Amino acid sequence: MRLLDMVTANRIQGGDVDAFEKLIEGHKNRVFNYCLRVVGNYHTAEELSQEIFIKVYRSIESYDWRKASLSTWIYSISRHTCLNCLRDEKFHQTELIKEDFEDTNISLEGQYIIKEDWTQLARAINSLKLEDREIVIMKDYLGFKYGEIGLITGLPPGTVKSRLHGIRMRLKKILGDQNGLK
Amino acid sequence: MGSNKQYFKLLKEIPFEKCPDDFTARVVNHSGILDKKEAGYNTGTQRNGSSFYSIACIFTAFLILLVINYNVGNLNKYSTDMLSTNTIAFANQLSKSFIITFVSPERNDVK
Repeated sequence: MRLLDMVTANRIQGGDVDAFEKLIEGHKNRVFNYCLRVVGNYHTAEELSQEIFIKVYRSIESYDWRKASLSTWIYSISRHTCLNCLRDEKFHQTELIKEDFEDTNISLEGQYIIKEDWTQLARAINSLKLEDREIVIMKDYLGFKYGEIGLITGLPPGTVKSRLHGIRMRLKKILGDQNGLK
Repeated sequence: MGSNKQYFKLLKEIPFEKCPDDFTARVVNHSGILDKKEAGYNTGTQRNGSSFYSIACIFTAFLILLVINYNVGNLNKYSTDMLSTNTIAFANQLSKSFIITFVSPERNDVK
């Protein structure tokens, strides 16, 4: 797989638009959702996602296939870009609540219940500190492996695993407390 | 809510948003890759590299043909016992010719 990454990077460096488009198509939704869950704002996440892929293209010469996969490298750039955004801007995180459900098979009551449940979880994740939020988003929401998260965040995989365990405990407690109040 | 099962079930319900349809086109337009495409895919280094590779392949093929031609032409003259000796002698002669031709043309003593 790493050799394929090297070939892809070389092609993009050479100006191969098809290779670059394929790379974007393969990663855009996950990158976008990562930005969305970290910064908490839809339009900012969209702008950041574009900025990330532009950075990927402009710094493709610096990609070293021996150190990490292309995917891990892209998410490292994504992480730095989101962190810079949160640090540099006076940024107000708005809650992400999906107002409209397009799935008409679910009854209105069912939709309300589903909306309430995941909204609570989304709120709970948003309430975590940034370092914890990005770990739970990468592992539990986007399905990254511990090793990949370690490479992206600079933490040993064992540390990621133990932190995630603690984060999950806290999330369950937060959600349990919220449910208890109802 | 305390169980892992409920936690992961709720996680799956958090919407996985999709990028706008024109996202890829916007990124490609703003990245500058289209300017590079107009300039041509290969840089000068890549072009020189592919020419050298082609010449090396042709030269190697020529050498292989020489060896095959020599051995096939002499199969009816020599027995199999002598074939390996003949091949070694041929390789020796070829290397001498190479040295005379490409390395030191004035070295007539290697003849």
